[in-house]
Amino acid sequence: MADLSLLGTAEAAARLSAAPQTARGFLGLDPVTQNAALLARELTRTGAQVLSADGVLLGYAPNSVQPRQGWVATTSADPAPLAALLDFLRTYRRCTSYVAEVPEGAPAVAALEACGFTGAGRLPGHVFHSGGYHDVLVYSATQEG
Amino acid sequence: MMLRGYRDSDLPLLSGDWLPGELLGLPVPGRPPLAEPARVPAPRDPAEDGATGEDDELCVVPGAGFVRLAAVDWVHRRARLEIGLRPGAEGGAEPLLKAALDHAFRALNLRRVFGWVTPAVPLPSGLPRDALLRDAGLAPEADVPRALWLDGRPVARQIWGATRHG
Amino acid sequence: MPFVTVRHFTEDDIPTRTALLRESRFQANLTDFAVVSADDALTANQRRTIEREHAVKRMFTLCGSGGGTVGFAWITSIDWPGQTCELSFGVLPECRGRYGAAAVAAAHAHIRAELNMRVVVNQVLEHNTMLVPAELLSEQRRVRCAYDSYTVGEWRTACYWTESEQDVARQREQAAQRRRAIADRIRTASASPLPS
Repeated sequence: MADLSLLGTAEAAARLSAAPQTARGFLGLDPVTQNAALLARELTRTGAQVLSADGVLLGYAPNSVQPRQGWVATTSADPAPLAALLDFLRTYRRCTSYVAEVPEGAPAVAALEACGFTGAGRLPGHVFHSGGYHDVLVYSATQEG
Repeated sequence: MMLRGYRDSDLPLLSGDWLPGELLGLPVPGRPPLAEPARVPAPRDPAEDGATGEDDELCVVPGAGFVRLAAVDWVHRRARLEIGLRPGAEGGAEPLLKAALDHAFRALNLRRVFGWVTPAVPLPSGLPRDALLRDAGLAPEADVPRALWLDGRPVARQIWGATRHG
Repeated sequence: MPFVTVRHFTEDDIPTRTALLRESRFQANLTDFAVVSADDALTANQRRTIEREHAVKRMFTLCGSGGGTVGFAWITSIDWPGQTCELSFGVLPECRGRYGAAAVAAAHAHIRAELNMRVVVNQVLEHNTMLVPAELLSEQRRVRCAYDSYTVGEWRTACYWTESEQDVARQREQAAQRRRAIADRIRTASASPLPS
């Protein structure tokens, strides 16, 4: 199991800024158009936390109207760090369901599917980047209990 | 239906018995009297240091309800729509929904509007929700299980959206 | 054209940009306010833009192929609902000849493709042919505004013009035509027998 470490808001923003292309769409953020100060402000506004595991960035934001649901993100296609995050959220945040919104074609899709997430829908033209509008895929996973 | 900008005297319109964040929020029949009312924040003045508040657009129909375009994103040109109507104003749901989309697309020049819909809770007075939403140009896009905590259990929510092309 | 990339302006860039704001041709071509402002004030100004002014102003650092700074671009008068803004540049003196045109093109491309701006307002003082060729400037002189700015002891005349998506598409098509014409000439020349 990968070791997770929780990053402070400023460090989280700096780490996301350092990898602008891989972090596009991470918890709905975009380091290409948002500088570190703006990323930090958005993380604070949504109550999001960023964790790191073996160089992979993982994200968690609470669902303000459902305390047992978490919004998650990963910068990697490797399922191991994401599985560690889900285990952490189940154990310490008592989450029983998870939602992820990922840009189509993002590496995160492979990690989500390997961790048992299934497609919950498609948000057409939800994000603009590289000169055009692109769809965002919604994934969800639930645990019994 | 005419929307106008929020004023301080409109504060009572901002809380009520609809579901939090609901796209078409109408008073929920049989809501327990102790249930926390839903509430949206009043717009904040810019802070002293010049930083602006969140990018929310809040309009009202005096005496009837509010329309909130939350987290307006000017790069992605989208916002999450939230409507809250007072008891007795249900009949205004259809024109208000259309006025809200018109405001988002024409006044704010947004390209996309989306919002949360909770199928498990029917609209009062037998209003046909899906027909109202479709008629306004919205379509269902995603089904998110367990997205809202309601009466002691999680219930599913849908995301509905509309995109303006051109 | 050399390759120029665009990234966010950061605190580490402040000293370089402050020095550029005080460079003589920059003063003459844009504004001389930096000469009468203290270092602390200029630093505080730029830091405020980085930390708080996202809704009204954004600054970018333009980097050359090796990653080194070649200049800066910033957008002001941002109309988010209308998708328009004003774009300004400052290219470091030693990089102007090699990187000037590429820097301008990269900044324009970035604010269109990533910030979703559709119309860009350009303002250039009439005597300034550093980044925009004189003939383009006279062709672009859609609005000529005498007494626009007073900088380095003189009133300056400014030219204003807008660049829409259609303008960008037309420029791209013209560039492609020029490339095709050159390719055709090369093909014709290489096909004809060498002079003896």
